Amino acid sequence: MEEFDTLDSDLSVNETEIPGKVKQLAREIAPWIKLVALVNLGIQVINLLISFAYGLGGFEPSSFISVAISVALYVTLLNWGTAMDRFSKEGSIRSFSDAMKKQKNYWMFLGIILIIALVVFLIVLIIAINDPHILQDFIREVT
Amino acid sequence: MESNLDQHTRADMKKGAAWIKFVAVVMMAFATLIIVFGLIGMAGGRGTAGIGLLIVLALGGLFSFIGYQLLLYSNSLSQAGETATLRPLERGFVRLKTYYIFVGIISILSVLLKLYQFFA
Repeated sequence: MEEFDTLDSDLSVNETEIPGKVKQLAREIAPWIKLVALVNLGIQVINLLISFAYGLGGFEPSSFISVAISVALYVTLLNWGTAMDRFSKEGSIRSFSDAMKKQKNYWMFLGIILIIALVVFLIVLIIAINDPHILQDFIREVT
Repeated sequence: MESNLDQHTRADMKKGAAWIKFVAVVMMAFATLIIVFGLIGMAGGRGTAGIGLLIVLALGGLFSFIGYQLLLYSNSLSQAGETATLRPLERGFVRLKTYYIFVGIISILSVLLKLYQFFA
């Protein structure tokens, strides 16, 4: 069950004011987050073009799924970058809360993808240890 | 009202910090694997072992460094969520900025490599 800490009743407004340095750093971080998101979205477009070019117009469903997941991930990152930018300009607690929520969404998304990748890696490793021929045949078919 | 960090924001910060810590640990484990397998590969190889070793150590070191920055940021974020004060984020945001500068440079290099691959 989810547990929330209770906020101290004597917590003053001054204690939760946004420090100027935090806003300044958010202003410096936001462009980098947006840059990483946009560059990686660009890479996905190039991946699609390469896939079309090498596949002579054909399209692998597996590459489409991987591109779709990557696009969703980097759109989430772009949302966080935009929220950080808004927070650095407005400097309000509400904009900070929004940035934290979008940050959580992005890292959770990335974490889940990593868990799935690790599980797939472990399955492949177990198959390779038990019967290397199955894996070799699979790689030969794919390539 | 916009004066205090509400429970939802603090929960988001703590949950976010936990996921960031997980990603950072995986990143550092990946960096260790790069170094270990690189060194094993080098031990069995010949010729350009010196350059290969340098590349492997540089890559492993780079991933370890950015993973560690992320880990430090997650600690600051978690502390800020626990205490409902934003002072720990001053240090944390410096770590996050360092992380994103490195990831940004890696991303730009990746897109240049992809473009080369596409047009070559």
